[in-house]
Amino acid sequence: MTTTFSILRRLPAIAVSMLFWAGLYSGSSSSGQAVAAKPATKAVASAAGPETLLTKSPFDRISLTDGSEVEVEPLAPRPLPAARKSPFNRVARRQRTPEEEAKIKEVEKDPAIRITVQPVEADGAEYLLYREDIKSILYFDDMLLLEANRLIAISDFAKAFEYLLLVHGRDPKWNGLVDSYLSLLMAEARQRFDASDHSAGLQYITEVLVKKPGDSEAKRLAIKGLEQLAAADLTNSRFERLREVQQRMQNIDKSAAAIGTLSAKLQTVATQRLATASADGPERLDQLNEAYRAWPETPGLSEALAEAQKRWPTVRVAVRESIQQPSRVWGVSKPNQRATKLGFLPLLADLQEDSFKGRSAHQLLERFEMSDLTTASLILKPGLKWSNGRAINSRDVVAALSSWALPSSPAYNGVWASLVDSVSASDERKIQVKFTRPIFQPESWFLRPIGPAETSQAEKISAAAWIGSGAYRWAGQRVESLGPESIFERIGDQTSGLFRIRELIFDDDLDGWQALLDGRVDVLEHLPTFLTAEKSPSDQVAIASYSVPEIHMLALDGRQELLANRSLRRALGYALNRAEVLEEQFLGRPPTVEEFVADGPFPKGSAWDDPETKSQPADPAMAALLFASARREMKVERIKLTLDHPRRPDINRSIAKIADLLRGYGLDISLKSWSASELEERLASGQPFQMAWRFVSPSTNHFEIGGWISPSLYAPPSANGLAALASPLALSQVLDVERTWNENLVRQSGRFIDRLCREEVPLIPLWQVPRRFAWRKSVAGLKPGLDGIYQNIHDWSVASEVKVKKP
Amino acid sequence: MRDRFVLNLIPLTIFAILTMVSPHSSGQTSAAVAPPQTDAKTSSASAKPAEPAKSSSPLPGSNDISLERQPYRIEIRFSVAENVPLDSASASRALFDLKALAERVVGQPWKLQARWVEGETWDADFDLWQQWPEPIAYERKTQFPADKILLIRARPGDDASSLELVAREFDYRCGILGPMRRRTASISDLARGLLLISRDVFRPLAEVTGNEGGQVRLRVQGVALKPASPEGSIVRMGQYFQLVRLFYERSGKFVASSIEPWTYLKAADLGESGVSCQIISSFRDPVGRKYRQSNKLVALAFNASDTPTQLQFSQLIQTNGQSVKHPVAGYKVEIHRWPDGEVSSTHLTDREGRLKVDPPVGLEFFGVRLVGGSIEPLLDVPVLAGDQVPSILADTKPLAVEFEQQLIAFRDEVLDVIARRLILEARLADRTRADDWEKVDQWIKAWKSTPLGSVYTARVADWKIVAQKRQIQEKKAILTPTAQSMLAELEALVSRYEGQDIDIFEESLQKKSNTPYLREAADREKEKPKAKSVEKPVAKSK
Repeated sequence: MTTTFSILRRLPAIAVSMLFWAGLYSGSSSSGQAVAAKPATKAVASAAGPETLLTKSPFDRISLTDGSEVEVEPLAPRPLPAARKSPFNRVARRQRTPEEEAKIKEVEKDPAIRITVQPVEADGAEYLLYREDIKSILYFDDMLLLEANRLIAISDFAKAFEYLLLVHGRDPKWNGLVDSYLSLLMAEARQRFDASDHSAGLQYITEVLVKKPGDSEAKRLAIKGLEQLAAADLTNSRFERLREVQQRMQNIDKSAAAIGTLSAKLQTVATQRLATASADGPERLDQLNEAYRAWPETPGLSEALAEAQKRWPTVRVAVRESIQQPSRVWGVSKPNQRATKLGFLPLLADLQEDSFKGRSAHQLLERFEMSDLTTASLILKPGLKWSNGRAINSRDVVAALSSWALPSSPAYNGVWASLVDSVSASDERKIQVKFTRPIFQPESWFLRPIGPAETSQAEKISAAAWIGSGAYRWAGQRVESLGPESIFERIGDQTSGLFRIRELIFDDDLDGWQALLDGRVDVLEHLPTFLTAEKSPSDQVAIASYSVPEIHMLALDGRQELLANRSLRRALGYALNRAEVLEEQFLGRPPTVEEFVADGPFPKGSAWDDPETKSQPADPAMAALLFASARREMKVERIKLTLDHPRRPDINRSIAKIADLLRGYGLDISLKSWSASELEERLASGQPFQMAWRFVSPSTNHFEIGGWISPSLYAPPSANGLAALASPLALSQVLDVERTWNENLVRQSGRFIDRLCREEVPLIPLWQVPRRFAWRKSVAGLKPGLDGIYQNIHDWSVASEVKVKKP
Repeated sequence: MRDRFVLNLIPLTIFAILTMVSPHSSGQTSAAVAPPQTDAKTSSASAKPAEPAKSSSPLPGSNDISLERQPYRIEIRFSVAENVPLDSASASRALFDLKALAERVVGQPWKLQARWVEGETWDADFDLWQQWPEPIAYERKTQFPADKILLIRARPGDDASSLELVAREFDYRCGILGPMRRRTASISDLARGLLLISRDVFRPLAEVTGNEGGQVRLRVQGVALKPASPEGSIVRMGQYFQLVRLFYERSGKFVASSIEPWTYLKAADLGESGVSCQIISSFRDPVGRKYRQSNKLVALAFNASDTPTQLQFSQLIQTNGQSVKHPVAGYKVEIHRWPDGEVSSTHLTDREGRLKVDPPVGLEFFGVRLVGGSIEPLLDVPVLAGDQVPSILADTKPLAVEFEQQLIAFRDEVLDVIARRLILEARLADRTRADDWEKVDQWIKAWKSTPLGSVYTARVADWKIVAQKRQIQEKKAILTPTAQSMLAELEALVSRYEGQDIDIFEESLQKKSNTPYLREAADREKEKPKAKSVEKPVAKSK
């Protein structure tokens, strides 16, 4: 240091720069400001490929007054303050006393006067440099920005972003960074607009406007992009989006001409639709709805719409999945069960005395009683008719109940087949069902809906051939401007209740929730899992829970040799950190008290839940040991498993994580996605699988207890569904419960089965979450604690939410 | 719907008497004396041994001509189903040819009568052509027109030129309806088809004359009569027999018969003094079984076939003070080489406790083992391929199975904790070698937080005592040999667990030195070669 300082003292600035030039400086920069480099360094650089600023160690470039340039280690502070000349005579320093030197040194510590630099090639040597000898300083960050701007100019946006990111990482407040970033966004937006990707372009422009609301060019581009979007939405009649687009335009520039243009188009559409709407019939309601969505303020529209809604009351229900063909009474999928609830009446509405005596309006039986321990006597109500006008008679009931016992029938149920001895009719209305033994609660079988004899075993039914007994028939599917939907219309001359139910399909729960808040749908069948809404955010919307929560689990097929291995099943249980997946992937937030890792297939606190049974904790070390043990036992090198799962956003996120977790243990996991209804139907029919994601809401019907554990249990004998339940002891217990005739025994067995599920691992329970639904308060009749969304559909009514709007 | 075969009732014939009492259609035994309940590998006991009947043996002519020299009086009754292109003339011709053929093939042992019985019905509330082997209780006359009646029916075949023949034998003396057999026959060679199926269902009868040292001696009817050809031999080496017990009143009047369950004889020696047979049974002494009622033991031959065996398992459950039969549903059944061979296949009973089992390939004989839970053998019985067995009553030992389930779960728990400790010990070893005392301390704490061995020991001991007490009080099987074996295994496991310690790591931590651990590790290594070097001198001295 002393030597250097004395050199500096002795040599003029030009001499200093010659020293650097001679041997201490090297390197080139990618910005084109190349400086002569040492031969050795040059050779190394060419061998490694051209270095960029991204990969180089940071440096600053100082241009001296003599024209030379020096690359130095990054200066501090950054940027340096404005330069000042030293108040002391630099030449006269030779005659100064040590005290004077000390004072000068103290003053010249100011970086505005003098700085210490460390040339990049100086091997750590430091030099003092007066600011007055410096012509200019190009900071590393500025170099990066220059390069970023150059890349923006040649449309290499990804690389430019990397440079900007580096600057941001070094100093987020660096002068010029924001401007460069905005340039990047604008450039990208222009490129996207040119490629007709208006949505993406708008995203970039929106970000520019957030940072620079007054940028006129950004505003112009944004309005242009929105115009393009509006044109596409107008073609597809997406009027809600057009209103949104209009609102966005106004937020950007109230004076934009495009706003007026768009408004005019919407008004034209609405006026035309109003003028051409049918004079009568439910299609008038659809057309007026369209007009209202386009421009509610159209003169006369709101009055006409309110009247149409009164004549043909319609409820719009947002669902994840709807049926695509006429419903079948035996279908197990949720969409089919919803549709069956609308289209068919059960023999008994519930298990109350009033139902047994035929006092419930929504059932087929006038009377139900057990003549003795094994004989049920059923009497149909007189005057009941199918939708085609034919009388509902005992032949229909006999055909239906018999079809449940036939292995060749798609309605086959293994439990029923083993319980029923005979079904016979003594006249048009009287049916006798003889059971093979006394059983507990035989009447629960008659809560199922009954179809006509003509289609009791039909695998598929065409819309023309469909015959029902309920209040609604499936009127087909169509793609509305909101998306695909299924429509159910009232049958016959019922004058009360809803005329129509439209099930609108939303793949994304959030879209459905937004649609409910916006008023585009009236009921939301399933609240998104990531919402913790216990209280509705809108006073127009109510939220409630279904009676039974949802249990998510991985079903295992014991017919597969791999999954019959107990060590493997236990390993799977230890391998999954369910709490972590529940929070991070499934919910995307911390769980509430109602959301937790499940310990078995039955809801916590239910009659069959064993309170002593705890969920299996994650234990990676144990999992690894057990997987190794399973491989040894089965004499396989690798374990390959297929995991079937329903397509649902929260499940899709979770399944990817679960697959990764298992692959971490050396398992080969293949994922296969299905629609939820298709997967459930496949499993119930006894089709083989390995692991399958299921979500169930277990009822209190003990005849279904086995189905919650193993979906194939009721399949025809040819499917060997009993063997799918991987635990022999659990299987024998489940089958015992089916034939138990004592309620206490059912409860005891249920709890024992819950404990067995923990010990034998015939399934991997994941978590329990509440099932919630929501509705706009314009719909009356919905209430908390429903078993299914249409449980009390006959009590529903809908008030018009149309506000008469003046133009 | 059951395939019913109905013959016209002829009141004056034996069949009218046969229709008076019909067995239960579900395939259970209907003998007046019920066979003993299935209790594998035990023999029954009764208060007073029965006297074998002497004065009115159902077997004919034992006083005059020896049984071995008596031919079989066989009556073949042949009928056809609808849509079979066979008229009475053709049928009669075929039957005539059958007799001639039987003379040439079988010869003296058979005295054959055959007749066309179209239009006859045998009105019974069971399906004749279903597989079940039961004795039929009926009132018999002392003089019988035939020893055996072979019922043969022709059904449409796969094509126009073939027929399917189904047949069963009814042994009049024993009252036993044999297993159903079927065979395809050509219409143009019907007589041969009838002869072949007659031989399929024909079951030679034998008296049991001796039982010593696990060998049963039989006198087989007709065996001393020279057959017309080798194919007509009555008995061959390796022939299987079923034991049938005939019961009599004190007056000597025949009452009923029953097949000894899960018991077969296999011909091991065809000597002049009779056929010597080896006993195959799940009972210790099925031949020497004592009954209160007078009885006599005979044997009916049985030929293995590839007909699937229909099994049905039931259990008795106490309901309102009564024992009610319930199916044994969803239980595991293992088919294995008899008596203790490897398992060839595993099945599950259905909701009715039923199971249809094909005979394992290459096995004439196989064992059927019902398993409770995962491991508890509930019963194990031998079955001859093609035999049809009565409904099996099993004790499902629910308390024992539940207890074993608890033991299995507990074993898993203990194994898991042992594994965790081993993992911790491996980590301790690694960190001790590396002098990482902070981690060593952490792992020692983790090790010490595992459950105490004494807790597990106490739990096992407690369970054992409770199970013993409960078994005595409730008089139900809990500590079965399987359960005891599991308990012993668990005790050893828990003992091993209790014996685990990490003293050496604690000492190393205390001294902050890995020397104690390394020394111990080295000592352990030294011991291994020492064991080998000890063996060598012994080998050399030999």
